[in-house]
Amino acid sequence: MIKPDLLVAKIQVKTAVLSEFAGHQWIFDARGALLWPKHKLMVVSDLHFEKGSFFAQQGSLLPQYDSLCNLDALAILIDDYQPQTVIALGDSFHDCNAWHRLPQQAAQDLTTLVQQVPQWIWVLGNHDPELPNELPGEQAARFVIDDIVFVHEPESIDEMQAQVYGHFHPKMRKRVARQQMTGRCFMHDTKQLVMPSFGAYTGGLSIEDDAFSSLFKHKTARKHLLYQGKIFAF
Amino acid sequence: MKQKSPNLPTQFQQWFDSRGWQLREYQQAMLDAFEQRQSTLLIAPTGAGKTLSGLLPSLVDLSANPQSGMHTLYISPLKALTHDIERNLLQPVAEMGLDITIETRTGDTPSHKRQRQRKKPPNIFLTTPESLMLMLSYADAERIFGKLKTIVVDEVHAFAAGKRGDFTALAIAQLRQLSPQLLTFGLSATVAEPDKLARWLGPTEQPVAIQQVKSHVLPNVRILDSKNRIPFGGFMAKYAVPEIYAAIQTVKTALVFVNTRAQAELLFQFLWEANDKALPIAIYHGSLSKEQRRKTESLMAAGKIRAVVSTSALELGIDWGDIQLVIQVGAPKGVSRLLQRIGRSNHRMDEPSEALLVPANRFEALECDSAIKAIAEQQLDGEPFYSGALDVIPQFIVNCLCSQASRPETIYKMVRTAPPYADLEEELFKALWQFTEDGGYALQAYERYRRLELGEDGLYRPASKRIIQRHRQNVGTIVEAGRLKVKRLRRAHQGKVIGEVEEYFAQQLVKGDTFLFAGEMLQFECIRDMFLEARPSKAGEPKIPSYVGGQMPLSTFLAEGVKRLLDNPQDWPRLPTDVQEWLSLQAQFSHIPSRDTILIEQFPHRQTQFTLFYTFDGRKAHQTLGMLLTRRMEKLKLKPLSFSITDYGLSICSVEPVTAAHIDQLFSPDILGDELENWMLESPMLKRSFRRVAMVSGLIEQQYHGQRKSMRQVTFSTDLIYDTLREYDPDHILLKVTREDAERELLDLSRLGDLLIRYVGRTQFVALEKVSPMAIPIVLDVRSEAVKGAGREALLEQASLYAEAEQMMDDVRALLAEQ
Repeated sequence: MIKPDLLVAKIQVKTAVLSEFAGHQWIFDARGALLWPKHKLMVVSDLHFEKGSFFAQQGSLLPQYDSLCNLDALAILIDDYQPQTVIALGDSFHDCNAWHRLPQQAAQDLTTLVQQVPQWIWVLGNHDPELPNELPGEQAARFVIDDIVFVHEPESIDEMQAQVYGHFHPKMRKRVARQQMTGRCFMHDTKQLVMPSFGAYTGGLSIEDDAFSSLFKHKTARKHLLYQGKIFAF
Repeated sequence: MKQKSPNLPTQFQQWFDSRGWQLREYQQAMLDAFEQRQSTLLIAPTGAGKTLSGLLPSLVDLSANPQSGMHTLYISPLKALTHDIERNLLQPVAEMGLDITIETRTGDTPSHKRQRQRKKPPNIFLTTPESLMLMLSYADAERIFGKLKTIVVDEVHAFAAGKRGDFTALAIAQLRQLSPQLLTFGLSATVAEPDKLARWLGPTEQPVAIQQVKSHVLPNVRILDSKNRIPFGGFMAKYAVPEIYAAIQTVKTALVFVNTRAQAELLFQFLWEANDKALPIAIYHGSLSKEQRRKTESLMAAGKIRAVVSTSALELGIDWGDIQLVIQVGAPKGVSRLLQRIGRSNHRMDEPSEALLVPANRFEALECDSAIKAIAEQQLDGEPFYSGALDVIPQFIVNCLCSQASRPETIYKMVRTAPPYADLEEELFKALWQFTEDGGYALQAYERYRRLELGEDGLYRPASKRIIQRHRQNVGTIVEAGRLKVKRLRRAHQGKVIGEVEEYFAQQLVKGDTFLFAGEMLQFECIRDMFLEARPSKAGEPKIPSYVGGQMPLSTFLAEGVKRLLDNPQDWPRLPTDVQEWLSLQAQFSHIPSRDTILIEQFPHRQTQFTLFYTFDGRKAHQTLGMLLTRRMEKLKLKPLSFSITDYGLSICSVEPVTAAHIDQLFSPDILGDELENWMLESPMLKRSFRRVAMVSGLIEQQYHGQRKSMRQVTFSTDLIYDTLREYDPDHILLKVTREDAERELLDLSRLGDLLIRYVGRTQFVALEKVSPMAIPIVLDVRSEAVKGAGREALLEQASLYAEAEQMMDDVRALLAEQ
């Protein structure tokens, strides 16, 4: 895992922040990754590989650079934190054919990246309920460790457990001194944590939306706003 | 004595006689032009019966030589105008018993009627540029338009210089191919530079002839006297409501113009509160539903309404019967525009129109005075023409190919015959073609998805039916802000659609918020399936609709007038007393901006620092200067947050105050080393341009399967696409197109340098304790552009929960040491 001095430096320039969730200390990285030092574990969610080409197939000729962008960003994060385990928390691929649309080089780069990490878990999501067998890494509907459930969409869990999920692509806005700042965000209380989307072309859903108010009590939930490459806690 | 026209048939002459009219000289000239096959631009003041003059030759020709199919195509920038013209044409045609078919087609036309119009086109077809483009995309375009003899473009001055103008010029170029003998008639209000319009109307290098009707009678315009004081700031003119109401009572019908829809709603509300005589007063703006607008239009035409509060929606040539007075509330943003509005009153050419100007704040009083002076001196402001917008080209390419398979060279040649594209380089066109074909991305590793397919015959066509379908749904996307329909609920989710608001406005509402719309207080419920649902409400302070679309910049010409006025205190006594007081207050508290110096005011205001630069150099210069100054402030660690431009200069908001010591560095003429290019590319303005370009060029769709994608969704993803494209494909054609699009609002950098050289040694810096009298309307104006950088981070840090970073350091060491 990352060296203490490096992490301190990150916290000082606000590219990472430390926060408690479910009785553990976690690192929230401004690029949208969550790290659990205790298990040397890194979580990213909603990568949506090949979203660009999905639209291109339908005639919207979006630049198909999103997968490259994701790969570059993931490689740097893994290099920074050297995790033992990476959990891709669902919707890693925009659709069930996405893996096959990845250009050869990109597929190869992804394979190398996955194999570089001792354990890589693809949690299945609603966009990628099935993944090809040739994809390196483990596949799972959910993953549990220390009574913390990692799953794509929230589920009803027992009293004793907590959960980390993705799916919603949360974003928030903050007004300070009549200026408005908007960006992707993490949001959590003591029992649940929702991850920001990581994919290059993934839009967001405001945390003021009804979808969130049924999950969180806004006043007490903690939010981490990702803004201009930095992270701010509210 | 009645002059008999040589080419006016008897039945027309009798009809004119029966109405007590006689053929005017310029109407005769248009008949002659038609006979001599001379394309012509008719320029006449409002009230001269321009539209009839433009269409009369077609009626005459059709009566003499009846034909089936389309003879004349009438293009108007406004839907409402086509319906109005249809009404006005059907009447004489019926009265003269002519066998001429006339129909309109706009976005509102039902599909069965559209089908019929394609099968059996009417003789005279009235439409908008967007609907025309759609028709040109059909495979039977040649059959529909092949016999066309005349195009009549109405209100040319209102849209020729802009993207819609480019779009229309391309459509006309294509029509000329389908029907080479085509004549083009343009109709325009009086403009500063008629030659430019004449050039736009003809094919490249063949400007049309100009027929100009001079106006002999100057309108009678004055500033409204009010017992109440004109406020320092604000845009609502509430102070003048009693006098406006009194003025309405003195005439049969008055038109009250405002500049934004928000002003329309509020003023309408104020007038009704003052309306103790229960006069029928109505409201009219583009956000209201078609039914609501039709209702007002017909009441108006029947003379049943005493006053209408309206935005520019009523500005263009709709015939409103007998309007005796025009009241302009808020500053007239340009002389030509003001004249157009004033021309709505008294639809007779030879009597003066009557108008009252009501400044909403003291700064606007200066603008009103300058406008009155310019009218007296018969000076007009003109709009600049740019070379054709590039994002329109991919849309046009697909449009052509939907109708007929073709080659790039053929379409390139045709595009060049449209005057805005006369100088379009082949290289650029090829890049745009490539983009249209497969996206034109640099990275070859990826599989190419195609929109166009090359057949064995060497011709290109759309790659699939689906592409054609999507194109047709999006054709004519001239992007403004996204819109939501407003549904007025009675129970559950049932109710009537009463109009539209910008999505931007809808997004800032929270359940329970109230706002004024369609002259009524509504309470916001929710947004559901692209409908804003609200119910009638009685309580509460309204959150006024802040419609972005309705704002207009002041013409450079008028800003210049204001500067002259400020420079000449001997002219001040003609201003209202309040305004004179305000100017002397400004002189005491700070300074009056003058011709020789650039006044810079600095003061704290609402938790942040403001710096105002009174540069008077036009909005383009101010926008560019805003980018440069914020870049330099960022480097000087002044933490700029946002800037907003005005017609008089710009205002920058920052965390740290600017001091006199910074000014030399901020205004240094040497702009090298500022990395300005990169800074601009990251600005919200360029992202806005990219969003427009992405939609117009067909990179992303706004409309698909009849369902409009929420603009907010689109916004977020275009910003992401923009960033990705800049990083991975910095030379991509769309980035070039984006820069070109933005440059319409910017000054080129060499001219920025010249500007700064002029400022050297001429700045006058004053640090104030609070906002100066002159700055009030400027800081109240909320349209500002966010600046990326340290300032916003500082604000977030301030508000963030983790001030005590030091303590966290210990946690980190403990946490990572555990392992």
